[in-house]
Amino acid sequence: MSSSVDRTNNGQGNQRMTAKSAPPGLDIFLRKLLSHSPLTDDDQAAIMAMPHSVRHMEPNSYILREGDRSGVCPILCAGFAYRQKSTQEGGRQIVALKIPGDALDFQSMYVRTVDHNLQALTAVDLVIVALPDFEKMVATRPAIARAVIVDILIEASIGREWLLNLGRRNALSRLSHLLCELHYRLLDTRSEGLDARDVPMKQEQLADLLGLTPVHINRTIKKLESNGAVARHGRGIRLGDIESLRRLADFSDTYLHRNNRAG
Amino acid sequence: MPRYFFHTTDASRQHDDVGVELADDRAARREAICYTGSLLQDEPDLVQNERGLRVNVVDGDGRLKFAVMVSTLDSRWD
Repeated sequence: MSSSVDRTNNGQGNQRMTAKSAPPGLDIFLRKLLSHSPLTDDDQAAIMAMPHSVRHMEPNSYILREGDRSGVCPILCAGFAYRQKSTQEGGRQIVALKIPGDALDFQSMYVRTVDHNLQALTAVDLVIVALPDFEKMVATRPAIARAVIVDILIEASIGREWLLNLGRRNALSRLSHLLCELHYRLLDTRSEGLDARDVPMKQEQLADLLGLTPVHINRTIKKLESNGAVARHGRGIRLGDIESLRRLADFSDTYLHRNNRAG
Repeated sequence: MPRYFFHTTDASRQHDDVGVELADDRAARREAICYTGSLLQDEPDLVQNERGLRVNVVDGDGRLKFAVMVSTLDSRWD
């Protein structure tokens, strides 16, 4: 996937996270790691100086395919992406949703074969880091290695919560729960929450994520709209009232480990 | 692909003004059945009224294509 590289940066002229310049870059990735793990100035500078290339992809493009052997770790700088798996009959389940700042393939550092498909949900900007560079980094910098593991653990925790959500919550709670999660995850990387931007998914994508039919998604959105939990915004929907959404979802943010840095 | 609208009637009526694009009538019928099933799984009480639960599938011209109906019968109806 590294075939069409738009711009290459060999680490020269990269500043620490204080620099807001040159988006898309590694700064949002660093913010994501710092949201759950402390890193020294030196470690932060090492991350910002990682050699990388930048790539733009259109909605629905495949970033990784099941069965691939990946040599790179793409990092999502702008836009949304998802992991999906499909049955032989074509039934698709979205199994993870990735937001700006998320590394998309830490696992290829440790296991050989990509075990799911990774697709762009919206147009995305990716920073591509070669896996050997990342491996070198985690081998020489224990705090970064630890941050990578924490990141993987939190993704696994989110996966467990999704299992609960799909298996045991009704449609109204299920959709409310997803919206709460997405909102808080965005805020934690200092991105705009769902009160300030549209939910990035269409009804079909929400259906594939929540294991409901598109018609059931429509009905559920209408219900949320009628009690003010979500609000129409042009053709999109946004968060209307986070507190009522939390109540409907029976939402507890423990599984997101938002207080991890506090120890 | 044609667009189909799924209007739901239980104790109250819900008009679908968004609709879903589906391959053909056969796919729409299937979608209606699955939708009804998932509604019931979520809210069994939807059937606990005189009329039961009815999902009308309507095409883009507003014509009724078919309906899925679920109701319960008491023993006195036997």
